[in-house]
Amino acid sequence: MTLSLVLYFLGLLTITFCCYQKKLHLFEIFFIWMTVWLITHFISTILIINFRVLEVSSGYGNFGVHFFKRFILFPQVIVIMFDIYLRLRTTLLRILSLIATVFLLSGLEFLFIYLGVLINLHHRFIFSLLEWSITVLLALLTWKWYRYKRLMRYS
Amino acid sequence: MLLYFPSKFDGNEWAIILALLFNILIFTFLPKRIPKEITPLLVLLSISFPKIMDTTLAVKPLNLYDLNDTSHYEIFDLALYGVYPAFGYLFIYIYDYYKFKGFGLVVYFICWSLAGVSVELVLVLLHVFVYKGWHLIYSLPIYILVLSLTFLFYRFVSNYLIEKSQN
Repeated sequence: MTLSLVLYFLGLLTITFCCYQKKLHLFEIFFIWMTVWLITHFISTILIINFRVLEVSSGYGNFGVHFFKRFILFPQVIVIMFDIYLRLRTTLLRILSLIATVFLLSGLEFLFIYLGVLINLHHRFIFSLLEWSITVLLALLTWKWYRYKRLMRYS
Repeated sequence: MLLYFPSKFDGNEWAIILALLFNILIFTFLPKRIPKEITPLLVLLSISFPKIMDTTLAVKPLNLYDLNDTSHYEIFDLALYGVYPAFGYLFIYIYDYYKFKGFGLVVYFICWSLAGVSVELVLVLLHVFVYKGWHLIYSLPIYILVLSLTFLFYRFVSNYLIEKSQN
């Protein structure tokens, strides 16, 4: 049931994502999406295998949810938040939007723990904030490099 | 521990180091041909496909293979990220140079999928991949799929770039 609901929600989110006018260039979306894939897969593997603070539920349905949230949900949330970041004009608002992104992603992670997709062994909200701060910051820095050095977009 | 050290420094670690050097040589000395906007996307795509496979198939509940010496995440598991870009980049680079069409393109895909399986066989023999339920033959359709997606992605982004520059 969780898989069906998550897929339904992801479908709606993806349709909404495709329909609205974005400020990001298409190549930037590809770049951010794939960067987030790599960072989230790396960090979640460290948390699950090396630190053992989380465990993926053994059921295939929950594993499917775990796959789709890393494959579609998290990159999409970060792309949308970076698009909002571009629309904001002041540095303060931009920093606040990044902090909101970190809290949103941490909240989503705990939602998946609540839904039983991930099993909490020793995970804390502060670890989650740290995990997503690193992810968002790395994604932001690499995206800015790509935007200014490769796409030459300054507006 | 954040990242584990290898239990012993042998064939698999040397294979990864040599592959990293090969990647550095390719990206440093090969004349630039692919547009600079597209090269980072190809690099990311070439790393993303195998890493998503690794973090999906090589962990519970599937757990079909291990990377390197232990089931922990090691420094050389991270270094493995740097091994993949040359594969996707060279695949597109050579295609872009010769512009294969029709049957030639089919032969090109077959050659690259066989090359991918051959490289994987070498990596299996060197214990970079330790199969626990996976077989080399399973990789053949994966390579065809991944190469097709990389090819279609390149065609799409290069056409998009041309279209945008004309407007």
